[in-house]
Amino acid sequence: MVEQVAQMIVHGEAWTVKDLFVLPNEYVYWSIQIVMYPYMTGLVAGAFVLSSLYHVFGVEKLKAIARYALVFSFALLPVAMMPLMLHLSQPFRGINVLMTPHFTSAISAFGIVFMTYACIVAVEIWFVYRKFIVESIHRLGKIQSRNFLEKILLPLYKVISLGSMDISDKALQADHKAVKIMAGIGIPVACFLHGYAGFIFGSVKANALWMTPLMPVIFICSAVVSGIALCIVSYYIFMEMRKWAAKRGKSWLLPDAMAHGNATMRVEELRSVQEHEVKISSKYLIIFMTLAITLEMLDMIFRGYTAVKSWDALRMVIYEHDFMKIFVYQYGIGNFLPFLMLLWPGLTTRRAVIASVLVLFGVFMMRWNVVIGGQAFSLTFAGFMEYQLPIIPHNFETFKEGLGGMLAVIVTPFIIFYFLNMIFPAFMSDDELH
Amino acid sequence: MKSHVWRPLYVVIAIVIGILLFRAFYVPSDFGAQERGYTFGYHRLSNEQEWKDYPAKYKGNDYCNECHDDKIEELESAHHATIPCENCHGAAFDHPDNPEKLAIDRSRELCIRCHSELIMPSSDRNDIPGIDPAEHNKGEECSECHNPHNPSLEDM
Amino acid sequence: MKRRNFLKSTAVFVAGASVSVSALDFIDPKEILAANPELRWGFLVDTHKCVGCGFCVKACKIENDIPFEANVTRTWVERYVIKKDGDVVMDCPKGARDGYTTKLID
Repeated sequence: MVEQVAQMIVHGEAWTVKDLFVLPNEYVYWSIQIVMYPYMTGLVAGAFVLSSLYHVFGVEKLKAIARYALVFSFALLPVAMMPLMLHLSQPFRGINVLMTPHFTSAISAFGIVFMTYACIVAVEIWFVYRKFIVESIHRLGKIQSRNFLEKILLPLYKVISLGSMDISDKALQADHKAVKIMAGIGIPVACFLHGYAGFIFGSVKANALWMTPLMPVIFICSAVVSGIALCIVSYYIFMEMRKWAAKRGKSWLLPDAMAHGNATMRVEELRSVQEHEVKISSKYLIIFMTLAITLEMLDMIFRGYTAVKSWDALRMVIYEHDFMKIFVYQYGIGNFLPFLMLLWPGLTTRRAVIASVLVLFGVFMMRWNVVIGGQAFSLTFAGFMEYQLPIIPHNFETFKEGLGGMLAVIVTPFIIFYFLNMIFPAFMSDDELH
Repeated sequence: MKSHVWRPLYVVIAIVIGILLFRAFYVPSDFGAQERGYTFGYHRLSNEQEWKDYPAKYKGNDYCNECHDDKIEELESAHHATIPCENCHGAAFDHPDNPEKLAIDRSRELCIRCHSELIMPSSDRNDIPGIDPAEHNKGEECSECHNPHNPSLEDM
Repeated sequence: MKRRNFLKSTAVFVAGASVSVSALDFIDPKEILAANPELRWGFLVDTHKCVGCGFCVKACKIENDIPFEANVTRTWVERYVIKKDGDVVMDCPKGARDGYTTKLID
């Protein structure tokens, strides 16, 4: 009974296993949700960078996936905050970090950077979809008896359009230019959004594994890698679903068909777009992967070479406690294997997708090794702690900071994306949008 | 400036103003940077009273002295003079209203916190009379022989 | 700031463990603060005086509503024993909530 009370009250006791001399208030406080936090912001930033490759740098080949990545990035955005809220024992106090930012603390930037970024993505989407919104207002306005969805969408579109109904060529040209500018501003802000997540870790002086100015850069590179990989994987899956729906004539299941009634595309057309986009994106994936791996290895080698005082404890963690997680899962399965798979000649769509899944896993393991690995040693350097992911929850805390909470965070962006697709169809053909 | 392109900007500005307005209501006016620059700290003039009203559980010897001055006198003339009453008698809370009677901890575990003999030079612990709890009158309460207020056996 | 200057400029120091309650009476914090508005308070503990009774940990837990049985404390006392061969053994059973009562090192 006493033990149960303790587990309910002491954050971290439920999943921490202590070894040797560990201070009494040391636990693995930062659990799976803090692993998910940089992972999700990374996906947001990465997806945005992928969409910017088309919008800013004019990589025409990425046109279809760029629009998808933009909308998906917007769907991921609210989820970047979700892990933090799930992690807090007092979620209602979360507002204080936004309302009373303390500028000697890195997390104070969160509200400002997050809001700026959210505004930029929203504005960019607004410009990309403005023509579509205006046309939809006209189209829905003409319908005599609207169904339930159309009744919601029409006023929604009217609000979103902000009353600008001008879709003359000149106006559209202005839109196009605005998209380019917003995407251009968006890249540094997206990097900042994620770089500062790395900054939070890199600036923790007390933690030997985190304390490095390279941390933000490493985070940004792996963020772009994971973002592109997620876009490839999810794009592939969504296109598979669309092909499946098109073949069986069940396209009414698709969100844009429900809302706009014209998602039917031919299977061959879908397949060619899918193959083309996946392959081109995977080329960019390799470029950013090279950068990310180089930086991570540089960091590791630098620590080993300079061998400062904390290296003794770090070496124990890196080479003994977390050897499997770091060298086998993160570098082996998560980096080098997909690297080879992508470089091997005769790349097929499926191989690119499997490699991307491995990359996603690798980046996840990297976040895990940084967040959990950084807490693996006691601040006394004389003891170790192990985090045991709660799989079967026995109370709300072990649910939200265990497998359940993790899955909730993973699933949510897809649910948001499904509904967002009704408003901003990410897969519509080019004739409808510009 | 009449182009539709600026409309999202107006929306963003409106949102920012909205947040700032909300902040003005939400955050107490004297919150944050006082004379010590950016250090926020706990201290705020407007909630000093709030903290003053916050009840402390340990009241200190002066509080005990208000009624039990005889006991305090006895204690202060003996070896245990430095030990606050509440170490053994428990935190006062609102005694004598709530709780009416404090639960006195007479256990061996309480005494051996200080009187278990440890071999560790450099600490004043070695100047305190120490016993080996496994050997010294096992199973008996210390207070059966020693008066906690005046523990020396010679004075008894 | 150098330690010497620090001690000089502050003028008054409350040495937590070494000053008894009665000695504190003739220091009135308000008067001193009025005379030296720049004064910043410090808290010194003479670790030599610490006998490891653990009452501070217990009191801290009770005063701040920290769950008593749970192995977590806001303040705790560590014990270090340096052996003749240079080995350092350290322990901190339950954050020293019940004091140090045995010779054994955890």
